[in-house]
Amino acid sequence: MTLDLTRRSLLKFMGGAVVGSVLSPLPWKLLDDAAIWTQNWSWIARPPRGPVSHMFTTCQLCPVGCGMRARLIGASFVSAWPVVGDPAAAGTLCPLGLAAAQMRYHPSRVRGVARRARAAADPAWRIVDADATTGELGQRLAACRSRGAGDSIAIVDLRPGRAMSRLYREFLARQGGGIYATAPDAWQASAAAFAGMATVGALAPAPDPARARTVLNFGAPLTAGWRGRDIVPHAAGGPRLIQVDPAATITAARADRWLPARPGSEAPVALALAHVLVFEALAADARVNALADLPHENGSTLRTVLADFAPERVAANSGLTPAQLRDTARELAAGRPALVLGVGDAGGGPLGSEEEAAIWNLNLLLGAVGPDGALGVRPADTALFDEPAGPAARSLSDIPDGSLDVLLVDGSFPGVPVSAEQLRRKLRGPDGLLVALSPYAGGAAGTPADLILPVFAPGEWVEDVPAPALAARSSYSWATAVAVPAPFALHPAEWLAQLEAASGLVVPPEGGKSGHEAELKRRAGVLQSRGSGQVFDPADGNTTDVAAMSDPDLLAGALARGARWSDKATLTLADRDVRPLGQGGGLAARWRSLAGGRADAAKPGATGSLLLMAGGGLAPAAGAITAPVLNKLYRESGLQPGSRQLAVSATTARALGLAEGKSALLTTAHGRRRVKVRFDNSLPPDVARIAAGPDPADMGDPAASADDRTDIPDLCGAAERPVWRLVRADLQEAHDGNA
Amino acid sequence: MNDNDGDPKPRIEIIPTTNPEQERSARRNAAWARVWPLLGLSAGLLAGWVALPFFLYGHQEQPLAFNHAVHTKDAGMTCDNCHGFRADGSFAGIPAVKACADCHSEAQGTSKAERRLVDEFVTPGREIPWLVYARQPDNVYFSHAPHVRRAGIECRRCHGDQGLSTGTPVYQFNRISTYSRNIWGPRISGGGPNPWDSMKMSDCTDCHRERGVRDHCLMCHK
Amino acid sequence: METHSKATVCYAMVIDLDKCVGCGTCNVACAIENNVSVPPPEALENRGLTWMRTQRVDNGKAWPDHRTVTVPIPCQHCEHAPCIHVCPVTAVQLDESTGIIGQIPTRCMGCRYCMAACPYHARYFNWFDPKWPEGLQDTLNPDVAPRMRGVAEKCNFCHGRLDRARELAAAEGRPAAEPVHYTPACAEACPHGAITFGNRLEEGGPIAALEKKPEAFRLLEALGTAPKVTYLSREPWIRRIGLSRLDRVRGHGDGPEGA
Repeated sequence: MTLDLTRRSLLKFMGGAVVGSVLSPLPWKLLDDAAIWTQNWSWIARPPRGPVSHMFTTCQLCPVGCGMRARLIGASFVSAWPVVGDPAAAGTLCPLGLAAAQMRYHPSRVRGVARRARAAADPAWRIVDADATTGELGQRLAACRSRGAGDSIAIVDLRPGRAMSRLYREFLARQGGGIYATAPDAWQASAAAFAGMATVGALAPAPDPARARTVLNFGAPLTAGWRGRDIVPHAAGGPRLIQVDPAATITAARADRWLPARPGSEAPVALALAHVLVFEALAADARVNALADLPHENGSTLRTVLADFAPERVAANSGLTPAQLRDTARELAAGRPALVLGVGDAGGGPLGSEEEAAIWNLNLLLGAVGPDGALGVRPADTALFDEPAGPAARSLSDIPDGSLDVLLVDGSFPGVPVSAEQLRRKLRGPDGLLVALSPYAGGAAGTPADLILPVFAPGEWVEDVPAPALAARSSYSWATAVAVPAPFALHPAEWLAQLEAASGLVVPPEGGKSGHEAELKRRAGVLQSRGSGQVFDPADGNTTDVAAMSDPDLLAGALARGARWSDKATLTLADRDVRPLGQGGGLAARWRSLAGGRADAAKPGATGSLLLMAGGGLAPAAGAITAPVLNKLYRESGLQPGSRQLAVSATTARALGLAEGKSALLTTAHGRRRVKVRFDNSLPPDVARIAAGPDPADMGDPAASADDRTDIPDLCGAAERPVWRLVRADLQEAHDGNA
Repeated sequence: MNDNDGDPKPRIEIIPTTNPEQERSARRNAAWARVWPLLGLSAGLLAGWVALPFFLYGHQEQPLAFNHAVHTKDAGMTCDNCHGFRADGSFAGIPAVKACADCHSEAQGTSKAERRLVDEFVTPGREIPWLVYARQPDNVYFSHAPHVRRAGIECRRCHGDQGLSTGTPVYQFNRISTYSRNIWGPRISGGGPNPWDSMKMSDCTDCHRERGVRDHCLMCHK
Repeated sequence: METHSKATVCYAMVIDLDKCVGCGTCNVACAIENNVSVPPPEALENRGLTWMRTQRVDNGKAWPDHRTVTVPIPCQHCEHAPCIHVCPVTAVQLDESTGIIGQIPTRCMGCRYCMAACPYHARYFNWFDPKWPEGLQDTLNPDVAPRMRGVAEKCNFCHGRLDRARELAAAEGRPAAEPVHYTPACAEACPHGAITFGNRLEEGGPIAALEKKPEAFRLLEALGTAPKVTYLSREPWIRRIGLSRLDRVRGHGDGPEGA
């Protein structure tokens, strides 16, 4: 018997099945689940789950060292928030700090000891064997030591004054006299320029705007920044602000007086103001006269040098009228205690020793130094912590080019204004090795390096944070560990000990990780035994006097919980302990040569239709590795300029045939870079400005070509001259369609 | 037109086949013709009600056998001894292995599960990778505090008699949506006989409506 | 019994433009709190996601008389929100117990009517899959669900923080859900104290007082949307920016005194 299976019967079966399944949950459930499935693509990120907790620490992403409240979900460090009441930065946190949790997962993080052959056409990083590499490096050090060529080894410490800094110096001392160098930013350079002014002790300047009635400021966005270095605006009870700024920035527009001086005229403006003070506004003040008559150089006095800088002579080149200069000087004299801050736009590197000397001398003449002034002093970090004399710190620019076999760069600090080109030039030929102790294959240390040792990222280990340059008071805190360290990350001190062992030396107990921890504890002990200052506890917002702490380990315990020690008061200098800057060095002659302003100290024969200013960004410096989310500020919104946007006034740009948003090539005598033109009518005509701040590539975006990766310091010739904030440049439309 | 009236036209007579086998077959096919749709219907119903749950849900064993009853009855513990609130008001859910270690730093009894707890989790300090029956998706916000602390709803209202269970049921997950079967409920049509059998959005809104709580999307979604 | 009374809470924000310097801290704090992803580098400029957009507006004059103001623009949480009425799938809702306009991404079908309807350009669309660099998902905030490609999103006054505050209030045994005090990420992070957030209906509270000041204004008041975000400025030219529409695409639109 057979059953005749016809098409009709199959259709009947299917019809029945459809009716049956419609009467069952099958289609409805599948539809529902499919809808939910579209909400759960596997590539949609899953946030961590778990209990919420908080830890207190210190931000390590710029020298200010703000207090930070780390939010943890389970063991995951998810975000950082400001600590209300913290003395640093008035209890605020800037975008760099807010995004600190992302730094551990930065796309450019190196996941092992990485090496590249720079001579190759396409130098790519390769992960190599850690022990073999350390061994090879140790042999190099041993070879240098045996030849007696200690000065062919150098360590560049981008964040001096830490416990780690001491370990570096001791390491070099044991290696037989290597060079310990720093690469000062605008603030550090300004603080360092003060050194010759005080004739007693190792002192650092501690200007305190809170004690001033008037503040004269050269260029820095002092009331429109991220608060790290900001002062309280006059409207909120702060001092009156006189801003010297070429551009109509928000700080300039809201200042009580704005001097729209030409870029580069800082020194003549400061000297003209000093001239008016000495010869007119404060001519009857015996103290000012005594200071002005102190010996300067070659038998002259400050008074005789200043005679050449009458406002009428300076006015023409500074873009200001003599009346503006005279009024400003009178206002400063009447508004004492007055303070002059001279870091310029900090993104453009140091101002130059001539400007800094003129500015510190202006402070001196205003009586800012002394018990009634706003310019206190504090012990230098080395003096605060009783450090033994190791190799003295030198500035990176003092190391002769082509003299080093091994250059170690501490890049635990992701952003400082170091020119990659400048670091490479210090090496002796192609065999020289630039070693970066850095979590990232980028930034100041990673960009020029041949070899990267993957050290801990911020938040993964305990480090100390000394007071920033030009802080009103000494302070000290620990950046405690808030995150589980990456398995491949190295402790810098531990690796240094391995290197020392590999170079054939016996590592003493003060080396290695335990030595670093012992040094941190020793520093806490030193502060506690000094008995001065107070401790801010972020957990409850209370402040305790150190003198009231009985247990000798109490301060170390508080620091480990994220507390901050700060000195209550600063020291003051008596007039007999100060002298005007400029003894020797032909400063008066250099001042006179700058009377027309610092326009172009570039290569001879360099021309350019534009005056290019470096600066205008709030990020600490060029070559900064910053968190991917900061692309929101630098790429997506364009709120912060970043180093791909060239700001220029609409009139100037149109005269060059450039429209807003156009891709253009910016050429100087030192290099060129592709930029995007942004109209900024706050800039004077024929002046362009580019931030030395981060580039989207520093936030994990791929870079397109070499023209996109030229550092701003290198573009401005930082490898060849110490003052690189101004340079002549040409701008023309880029026609390669690669915008 | 009527076929039966006396029409003079010659009548066309359909002569039935004489083959009895063919006749039977035709009759059978006619019967099947009525059965095919019914067969399809029952196949469809079977697929939806029986086969679907079989194929839709995957099964996973819990990492450790846990007996609630031993803790609540024999040891006299209550729910909040282990499932408590944290200081910030959030609910701790399944306790960390540290809480187990408070009592089980060493084995108290002789059960195999307890020995495994001590050897594999407590001693090495490893968290137990429990599969959570009540886990809601990432876009759902639920907080125990307003329900338990403010409204005084018993644990049992949503979780049933978990506290009396003697073992860990097999964790079933939806292969498409990836969620636990306990969200949808044991019945393939959703829910079950008890109010705690399912944890769908409609369960939340029904209860809110019953209690006169204002509903708003952002109250339960994030 | 948990019931919300309409009359007690209406969250509102006041932004003092004389204090704002356009530093972008609010923008980043918001992105971190709310898991706002960064679109890929090849994305067009107007396809970013910024719940707290900061618009730069100038007075249209050349140096040295040039002046700039930066205007942070979160969702304005309008009392009469155009986005609610145009949404075909009810993915946008006004919570009458808090005044917050909620956007439910899982309900959104991506038609972008709400974006066209919003006069403040406060809504953003996920043109790309929200991707984070490897490992970075470990730093996301569990209080806010990550979105997916093809849905709109916007500021909800940090509802995740409100949820946490409500949870704490309930755990502490406070009888009613409202009012609770909390601070959105932007207001917490603003280094210049330009953002004040609170309950508009709180008697003697800061918001009600600030909203009554003579320098207060709202954006596009003539449209009748009744925003819950109020701006303050003593400068008349800045107060006039509320009269005209601000361009969404980044750039430096000519101000009210512009040519």
